[in-house]
Amino acid sequence: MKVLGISAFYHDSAAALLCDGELVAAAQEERFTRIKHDERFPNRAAAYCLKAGGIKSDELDAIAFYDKPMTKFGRIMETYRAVAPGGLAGFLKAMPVWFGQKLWVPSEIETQLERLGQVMPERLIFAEHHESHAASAFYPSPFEEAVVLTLDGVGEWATSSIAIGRGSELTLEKELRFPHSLGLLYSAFTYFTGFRVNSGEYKLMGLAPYGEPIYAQNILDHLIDLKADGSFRLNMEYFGYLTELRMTNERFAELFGGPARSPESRITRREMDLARSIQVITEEVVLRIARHTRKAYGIPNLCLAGGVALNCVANGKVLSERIFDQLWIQPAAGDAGGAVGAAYVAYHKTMEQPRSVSGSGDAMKGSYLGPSFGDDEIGDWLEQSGYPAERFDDDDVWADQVSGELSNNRVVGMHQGRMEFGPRALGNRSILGDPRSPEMQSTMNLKIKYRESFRPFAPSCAADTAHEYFELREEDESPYMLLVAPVKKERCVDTSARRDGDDLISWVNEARSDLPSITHVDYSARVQTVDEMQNPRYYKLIKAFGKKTGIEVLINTSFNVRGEPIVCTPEDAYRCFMRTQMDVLVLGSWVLHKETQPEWADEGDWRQEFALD
Amino acid sequence: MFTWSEMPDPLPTPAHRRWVMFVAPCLVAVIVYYLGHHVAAGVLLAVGITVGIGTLVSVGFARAFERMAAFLSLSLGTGLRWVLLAPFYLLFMTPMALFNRLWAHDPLQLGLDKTKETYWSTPPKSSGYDRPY
Repeated sequence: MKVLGISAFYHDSAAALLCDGELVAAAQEERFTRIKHDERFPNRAAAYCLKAGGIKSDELDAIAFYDKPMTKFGRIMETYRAVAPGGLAGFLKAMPVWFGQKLWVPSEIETQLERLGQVMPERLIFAEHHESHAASAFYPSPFEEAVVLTLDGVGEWATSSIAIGRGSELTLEKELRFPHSLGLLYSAFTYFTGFRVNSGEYKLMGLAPYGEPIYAQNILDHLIDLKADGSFRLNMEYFGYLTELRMTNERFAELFGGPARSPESRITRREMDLARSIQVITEEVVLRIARHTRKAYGIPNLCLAGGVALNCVANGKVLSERIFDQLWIQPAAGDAGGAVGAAYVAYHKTMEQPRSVSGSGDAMKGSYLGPSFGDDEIGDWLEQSGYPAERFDDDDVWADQVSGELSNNRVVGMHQGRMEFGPRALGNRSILGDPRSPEMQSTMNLKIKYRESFRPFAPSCAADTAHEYFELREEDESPYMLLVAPVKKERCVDTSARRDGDDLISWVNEARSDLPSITHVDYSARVQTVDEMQNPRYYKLIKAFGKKTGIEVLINTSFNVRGEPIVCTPEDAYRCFMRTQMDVLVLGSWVLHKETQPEWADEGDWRQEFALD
Repeated sequence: MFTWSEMPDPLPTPAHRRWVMFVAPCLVAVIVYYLGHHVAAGVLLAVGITVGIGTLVSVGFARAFERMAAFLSLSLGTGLRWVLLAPFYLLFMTPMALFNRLWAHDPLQLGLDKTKETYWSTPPKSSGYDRPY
């Protein structure tokens, strides 16, 4: 049974291929088109998946789409019917797109499949948006039985849901409905603090530890009616997203002492405090829901998906409170993961295929589901292009060479193996650095990533020694970098109390532990634990770095610059390497040094190529 | 291993769509001819044949023509939405919304209820997986 899952037309379109219940390939369209959050039909990602699975033109058994477009359209019309004559501008903007494309998803899929040289299979499945999220969290998880929480902006009507998964069964039990949405509440603050909705939420989360939760009570008093079981409604008098083309309105601005911050302007103490306040509320909502579901259903395992599940600080709180015995989070928790979920729904629920749980781990293959490139092929390309490089076929020699560069405080662009699926780079499309350097965070942010200086970097560490660096139990794993854990107390340095000023740069440069570049201002870190079985080469590199420095931890950030999708091909990687101040580039077994490369010249300012996120 | 040469490229317009680009203007030309506008029909036929041959012979031409058509339809749509959609919204949707409000109908459940213990609700029964609704 071969099922192609598709998510498209909102943001982060993606395709995923399931063959006889095994997730064979998955990729986001943005990686191929080089347009961040590309929402168009993922025909390049689908072409890759079909090729990777060796699918012939008539071999697909089903296509699964990740939501029900007509139901979503019904919700939009119902919303306008409730708020008219307000909402006219939004209506005029939305309707042409709906009538032009979104209403005709079946014929659009058929046309696009034709372009891929595929015959339309007999079955075209439409799963509900939150069911797709829930399926993406439960079916590939290592659990036979679990509570599944999905929290995001909005799907058809649901904005949050509780589902129960048992074997191949997955049942939606409860939901909260639009416009009452935790994802949209967080996005409202993202907008108000001057970041871009649907991409700046990470920045807000990264900014939160710099602030104090002084607005948290204000939020509880005016914006949200939060119940003990975590369910809530928003007071829509403060939000603009029903009637205007913006997330918040004047009343919201009045409540928080002035208008929204203009994008790219200076970040002030107010933004830091707002970030912290909404983060505290988000954590409170997630924790209350988690406690409620644990009590109500008595199931010891929890799965998470939906955009809010990418809030690794909230996830870390759920883990540290030990509400559930085990926690698993879909690495592509946002809409891209809907493609995986829809394919699983088609396979297990409509084709009624059984599910077998692997005792050794989840079914996401470390999220390494994208294309990989052979050393010979890369070698041919390097030779043709005239780019000098050295090849190290022996993994131990390779690890020794690359770790040597890292320990000399050089920044390495790492492109090896299969590309990751989801927003996190997990060692195969990553920029790596030495976490011992206190200046590395600013250097990498400002000279390599060209992004805001306050943004923290995540550590990759060997799974077997993670507990030596972070407050994790030996059995705790965070293979997808979706959990935040405190740095071990004995490694931290007391930088005394919070400051009154808002000089972010000096704050960022302060050494807070013996791993200063990955220790955030609240002494936390977004940890990736690297398993020897899942990514042996990356594991070897971390171990080799440990031998040289005594620290088995590396800085790991995604291989891209601000506004650019993570690199896909070696050519994307080389371009990014030459445009930034990275020192070394690894392409599979090949190692390239910046100083030996021919001069790189772009036509015009290449930074204009990518819209700022 | 996924070889680099297999990196998906932009894909061509399906063949049946390219035929449409040829046939559609020619059909319109025939209608215009029978309506008595012989010169206009001739011009349309010439355009149809040029576009038709271009799109059938060259995928690049077909793609460029599609882009132009998409741009024109977007521009037309942008203009038309003020002509068609705005009156629809103001004359049809707005009275319905006002009527709803008059009867205190709250389809979005905007009201907060401090006395309620929970806002969780049971999801409505699904219509199945074969339908987009």
